[in-house]
Parts: sequence; C-alpha cells; structure tokens
Amino acid sequence: MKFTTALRSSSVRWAGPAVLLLAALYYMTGETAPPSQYHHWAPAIVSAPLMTLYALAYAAAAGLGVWESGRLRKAHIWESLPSRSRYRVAANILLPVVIPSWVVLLLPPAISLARSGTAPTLDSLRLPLMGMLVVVCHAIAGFALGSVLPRLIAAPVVAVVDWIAVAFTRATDPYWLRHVSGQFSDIGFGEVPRLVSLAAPVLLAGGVAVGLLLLWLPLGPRVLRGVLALGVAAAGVLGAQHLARDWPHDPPMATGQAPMDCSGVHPRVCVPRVASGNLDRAQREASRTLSTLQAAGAPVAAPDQITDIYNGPAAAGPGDRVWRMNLMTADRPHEVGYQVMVRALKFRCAEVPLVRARSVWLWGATRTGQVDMYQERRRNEGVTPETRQIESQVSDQVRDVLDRSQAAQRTWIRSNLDSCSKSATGSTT
Amino acid sequence: MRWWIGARRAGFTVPLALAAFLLPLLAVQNIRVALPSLIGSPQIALTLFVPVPLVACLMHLLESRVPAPEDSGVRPVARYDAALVTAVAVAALCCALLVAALGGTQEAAAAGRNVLFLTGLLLLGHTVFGPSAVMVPVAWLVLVVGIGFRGNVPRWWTVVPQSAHDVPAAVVSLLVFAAGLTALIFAPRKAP
Repeated sequence: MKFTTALRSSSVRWAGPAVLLLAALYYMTGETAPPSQYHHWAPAIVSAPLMTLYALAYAAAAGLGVWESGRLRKAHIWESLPSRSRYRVAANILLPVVIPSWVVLLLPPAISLARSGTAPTLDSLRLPLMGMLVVVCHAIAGFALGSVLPRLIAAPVVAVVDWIAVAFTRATDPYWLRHVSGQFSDIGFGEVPRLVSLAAPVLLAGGVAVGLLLLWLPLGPRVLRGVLALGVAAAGVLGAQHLARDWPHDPPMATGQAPMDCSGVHPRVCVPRVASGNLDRAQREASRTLSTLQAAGAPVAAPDQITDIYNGPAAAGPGDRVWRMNLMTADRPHEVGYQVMVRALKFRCAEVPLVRARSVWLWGATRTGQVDMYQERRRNEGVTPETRQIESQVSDQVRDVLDRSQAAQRTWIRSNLDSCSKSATGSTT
Repeated sequence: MRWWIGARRAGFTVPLALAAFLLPLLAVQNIRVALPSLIGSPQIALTLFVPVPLVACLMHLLESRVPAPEDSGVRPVARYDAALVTAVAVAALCCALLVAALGGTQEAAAAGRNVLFLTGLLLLGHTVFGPSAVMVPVAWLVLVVGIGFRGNVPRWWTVVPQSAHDVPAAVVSLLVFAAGLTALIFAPRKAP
C-alpha cells in the first residue's frame, strides 16, 4: 500500500490530532520556566519538554498498534494468501502509527529550541532518538497484543497501562525502573546522557519487540520459535536491569561538555562560551584579587585554573589546582572577584565562629576593594537584629585591624585562618 | 431478545467487564502515585483509571452486533442496549459502593461514580466517532492528569478526581450518563 493511502485509512486520521493536541497542552499551560535558564544548552532545552511527553508518545504508539492490528485481523488479512511478508504488512500499517508519536517527541523540543534561539546539536538529538526507537518497540508490542486480544477492549487498556507504567517511574524508588522505562529526567548545563544510559531502555523495549518479531518467523517449529523469542525478550529485560541496577538517581551523564573559552594565566579562567562576554573582566578580577591578598600577607595558594561550577565533573579533582565557581551567572563587576576572595581565604578548620569568618571576609573585601559586594551578600542573607549586632562587631574589629601595620595585619589574618579555637581572636597580642 | 443477548455476547462480556472493574479496584484502591503532569506532578489515586477496562468492555459489547438485521429490524435494539449499559453501570456502581462500605476507601465509591461519567462520555463519543470513541475516556483521563490539577487539588471541570462526597461531580456524572443514554437511543448509529 502506498504510504499516503495507509495514512488515510489508518486510525491516525483521528488519533493523530488528538495526541498532538494533548502534547500541545504543554505549551499552553505547562511551560513556565523561561528558556533563558538553560543558557542555550541544547540537550537541556530538549530534555525539559520531553520529560512529560515520553509516556504519552509510548502509550499512543502501543494503543494505536493494538487498534491497527485488530483492524487487520478483522479484515482477515492474515488468512489471505501470503503474497508478501507479514513483516512488510505490519510495517506498512505501523508506520502511520509511529509518526504521531515521533512528532510528539520532536516537535515540542524543536519549538523550545526555536523559542530560546538555540541551534540543535547532535548531542541534543540523543534523547529524542532514544524515544523514537522505544516508540517503535511499543508499537510492535501493541501490534502483537492486538493480534490476539479484542481491539476495542485491549486498545484503551493497553494505552492506559502503558502510560501509567512509564509515567510512574518518574518518581519511584528502585531507580533502575526509571532508567529502563524510557522515561528520562531533565539534564543540567554541560551534561549529555551517555550512550549507555540510552541503551538501557532501548535494550528492554527492543528485546521484547525483537522477541515478538521472532514469533512470526515463517520457518522452524512453533515451539522453537517460542523458546527463541522468550530467550531474546528475557535477555533484553534482564540485560537492561543488570545494566541499570546500580545507577544512582541520575543515569550516567557526560559532564562538562559545553564548549569553553579560557583567558589569561595564573589563574587561567574558563567559562562556557555562551557566557564568555565577561571573561576578561572575570580573569582580571581573579588575578588582581589573588595578587592583592598575597601582597597583604594572606597565605593564598593560587589555583592554576578557575572554571565554571556547572560545566564539569560533579566531584572536584584532587588538590586545589582547579577552582570551580559560579562564573556563568556572575555578570556584575566584583561578583567573580568576591568569590575568589572567599575561596582564597581558606580556613584550616571545618567549623569557624561566625564573627571570625565574617571578619576575615570583610578584611579581605576591604583590602581588595569589594566591600560593596560583602555588604550585598549580607543583605541577601536577611537582616535581623541579631545579624545587625554581629555585623557591628565584625566591622568594629576589622576597622581596628585595618588601622594596624602591614606586619600586624599579616599576623592577624594568618592566626585567624589557622586557629581552631571557638572564640573570635580579636587581637593577636 | 435472546438473539440480541447472544449477538452482544453479553453472557461473556458482562461478567468480564465487572471482573475487570472489581479486581483492579480491590487491588489499587489504596495506592496513589505521582504521575508527571504538565504542571508539577500531582499525587493521583490509581483508582482513577480503574473504570477504563469496564468502559472498554461496554464498547466491545455495543459493537458486537449483527448489523443487517439490527438496522432493518423492528425490535427496539437501541433501547435494549441502553438497558444493558445501564444495568452494567449500575452494577459496577453498586459493587464500588459495596467495596467502599465494607471498609474500603472513599476512592472506591468515587470510582463507581466515575464509571457513570466515563460511560456517558463513551456513549456521547460513540455517536460522533463510532467505535473509536473507546479512546475518549482515556483521552479525558490523560487530559485531567495533564492539566487538571493545581498542586494536589483537582480543578472544578475535571469531575473524575473529585472526592466521592462532591455533589457537583455526582450530579454532572449522572447528567453525562443520562445524555449518553439518550444519544445511544435516539442518535443514528455511526457505521464503524
């Protein structure tokens, strides 16, 4: 049958618009996050709308697969002379079925990309492609069910059960259930799902689908085919479970994939290219802050590199040669410099009295000319009578320290960073 | 009358329908799951979906027919159908109320009410779309889960997730059911 004829006679004529309408609701009601929050990271933009749409796409494919298979059975197709392969007949009838589901997986991400003005990348196509493969598998499974069950009962039941079975894994406890169901969470900046985390759902659905296809092989005894099919399906299911069994909440992701721009040496500052407008200023602030602190006598171990916290492995590397900071959202002067100052003045102890920590930071901010940023941070933390009292203590102490000689200040800062005593060391004498 | 019962395969489908309603109801009446809505992810009682097999069986029942004699005959087949649908729906409602009364949850009673509402939708859809209207209740449920909640509170138009004590939902369910029956009796059948 010609594709257009198949399309016209298919249930997709009425089901396609309904499915697309349900998917379109996402843009009428659901999309509340501004596109800018993704910083033009295409995989993240793509993953956000898909999160709610996987289940709809799979369920539509399975339900319509049942429906179309029942239609073929009702028309006694399988009893007519086998002039062409059964697979060909099935593929012919399933192609119109999977198309609306594919559109559900492709169109909303495309709209999201267009709205945020981001070009799709190859990496951002991974999730939709995984979904499209799984859609085909669900359609095949539905088709197989429809060839034995009455379609009017099976189609809605299969659609609902499939939808719930996929959707509920989004928030469920053995995490591997989500990792194999074809439901994906959202993706952070600089992250790309590894191929193995896409392989798990494809393995599960694909194993079952290939098993069902094997049942139809026109050769060999039926029992052998059954055993073979069962073996393939079980291998797929168990393989997927084995693969994903030990994955934590998020499946394996490649991090730090966003292209970076770097500038300067000692420290070399790197930010994602989308935010590289302030790169030179950030580098200047960082290097000036570090050199000022060193000149003032603070024991600062300058890093080789400062890079963005969002774009890199979650666990920091060994040592302190690379610092990870919030560079991408730091678009005002002194935001980077202040972070570098706080990071550079490193306390030896894990717990430090509040007044001492604040005194050290205020001292550092004053020496590096970033008092405004210090005060802004304190304001953002909330102002209460208690904090006001602490701040007046802090500023008294720092004023006192700043009046002293360079050597005395050097001793003060060193002792404050090294000391583990609970009381604030106001004077070093 | 007897051939009509036979043509509908009612002796098999009706018990199947009631079993397909009752067993899931007993199995899931205490389970709530977080489904991914388009807005947040509300906690949804799984009983919301329990009427689906039942209404699917009802559609199967209505579509198991012998078109030629039924369309040309003199017997009021549409009224028989309406009576049968009413009997099944009321039986399901009674079962649900019984489950709720025998120490079950109020979600069970709500599922009984939803049978009436979704059957009404099914019958109304049936006059417009023919047998493919079996997907109308499913689409309604997906719609409700998708955009029918504000936090965990269902919106007013959703009907199905309202609590069993909600009077407007009960009234609307009855009205929709009555409208569906009326459509079944008086509207011309749409060819599949």
